[in-house]
Amino acid sequence: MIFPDSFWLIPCLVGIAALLLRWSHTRLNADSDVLIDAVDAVLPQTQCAQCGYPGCRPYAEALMAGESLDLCPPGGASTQQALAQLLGRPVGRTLPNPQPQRAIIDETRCIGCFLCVEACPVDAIVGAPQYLHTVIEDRCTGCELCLPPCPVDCIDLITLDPINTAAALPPPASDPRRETACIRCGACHTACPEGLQPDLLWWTARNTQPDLAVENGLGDCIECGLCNPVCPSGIDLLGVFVQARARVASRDRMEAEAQRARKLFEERQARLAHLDLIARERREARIRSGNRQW
Amino acid sequence: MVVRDTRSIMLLVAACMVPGLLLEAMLISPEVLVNVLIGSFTAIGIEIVCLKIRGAGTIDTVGDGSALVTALILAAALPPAVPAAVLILATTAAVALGKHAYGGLGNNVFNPAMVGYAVALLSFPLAMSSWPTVVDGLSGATPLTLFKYRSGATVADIWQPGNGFGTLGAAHWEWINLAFLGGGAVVMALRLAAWRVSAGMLSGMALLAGLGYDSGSSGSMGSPFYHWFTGGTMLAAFFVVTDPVTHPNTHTGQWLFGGLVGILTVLIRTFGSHPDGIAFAVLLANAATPYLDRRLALARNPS
Repeated sequence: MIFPDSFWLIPCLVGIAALLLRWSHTRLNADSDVLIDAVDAVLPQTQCAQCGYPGCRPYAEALMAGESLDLCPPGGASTQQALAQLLGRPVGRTLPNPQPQRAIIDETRCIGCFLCVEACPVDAIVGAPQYLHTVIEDRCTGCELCLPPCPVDCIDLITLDPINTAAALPPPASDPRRETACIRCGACHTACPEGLQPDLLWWTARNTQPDLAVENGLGDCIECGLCNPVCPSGIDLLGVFVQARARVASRDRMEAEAQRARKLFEERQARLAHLDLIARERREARIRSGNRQW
Repeated sequence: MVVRDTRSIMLLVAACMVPGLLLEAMLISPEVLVNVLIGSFTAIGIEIVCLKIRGAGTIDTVGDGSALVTALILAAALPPAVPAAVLILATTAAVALGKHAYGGLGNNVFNPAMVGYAVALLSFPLAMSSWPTVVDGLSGATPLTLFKYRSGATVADIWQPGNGFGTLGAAHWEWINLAFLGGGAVVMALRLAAWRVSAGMLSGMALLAGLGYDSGSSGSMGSPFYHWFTGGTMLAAFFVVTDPVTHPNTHTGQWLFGGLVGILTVLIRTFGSHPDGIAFAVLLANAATPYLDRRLALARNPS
């Protein structure tokens, strides 16, 4: 007897485990709020409504319900990629990568009509009726929603220089003919004045795992370049670090900006809802009091 | 400090193995040199095939010399009379499975030569444990096996020249180990490898063997000298565990890694069922390398 008598137990257990997995997959649906949050986090939070939904979160909800991935111009190709990975769906038509832009009001032409202030989803325009309006540059997400309401066309969009983004940096100045595989000899460890593990950083940064690289001390790298000349494989460690640090910095900045835009948008939504509620209560009180003079 | 490129490091390491290999060919069997030739050709051939299949790297990458070092280690570690097919299988497993399956040089988790050795040992245990005996010229158990299964004899009883023992370790093997030690000294003097790993392995062995020596009684695990100069200890200490890809890069990690290899080797030699435990000890310690590296990196930089 090759197999013990209890051998039949194994396929039975495998079958039971498979059924349990199947059941948990269909019955215990992941919390849809969590999923919507995850999708929302990928979106650029410009609240521009160019997708046809009134803000990023509504679009995230629509995406969960099967909306197409190619409706977000401010996010561009990188957001599309992230969404496709998250939702496991095809990208659809590829959008160009966006240029960061800001609205600016030509104050000599502004007539103080207040229409743009009402249109701005993140409260980035200050002003009052019959007074001059201006854009708070830091808050503006460049969503273009203030352009159509303006009766005198006094709002322009200016394109910002993509400062500090990886795209703006030159590619690593390595000589691919000489660069060979890292053999983890540790020469760079001895050379690093910050006591980092440059080979580990290089590995994680190069494999686009910026979080792992940061966890291993990418932020402590002073970009001194002492690791480059000692590498027996002739790897341009410094170039990879400079690029990765710039990418992480620009990503962190964009994330912080997106967070702020979302907060402003949500505060505005709450305020509008509150005003709406007050107006409705007032109307109902008036109807109840029977005052129908108007 | 001289900065050498990967190819010259590998070729210098290979050169440092030559005295030990020559001595093994002289004292044990000249077939070792045949195995060196077969192994080298197989390793480089498989390397070329793997690079072609992966479509990564040019033929130029073959010249990094790591396949040659792997072949030399295997030729030195396998019994000289091993069938050529087993040697070719071990070398193929080492280069294709141990290295290229992980993405080539620098990406492998386990020491390629030891992967090849373990594959051959588990697949062909008989061929892999038949060493020519020094005494009567027939193939048979190594002194390591003899020492382990000495059934109650004291160390002094078994330690007879007629049983194949010499002054420090097994006869002839002590000289081969000394030759590898000499080659290893050159490797360290040229700063081609991390000395902490070798020192850690030899200290770990000496520590455990010293504790278990038991003044040579019938239950003795053998003296530190016996473990240092028998089997493939020096070969492993200076040419196998020093593979930079698979050992940790922090200094503390290197001591711990080496110590782990040494302790596991003595344990497997004493209590395990294989003639020499170095291959399994190295593979187990390799598995601990990422943990050691990461743990120590995070200890430095808690986040």
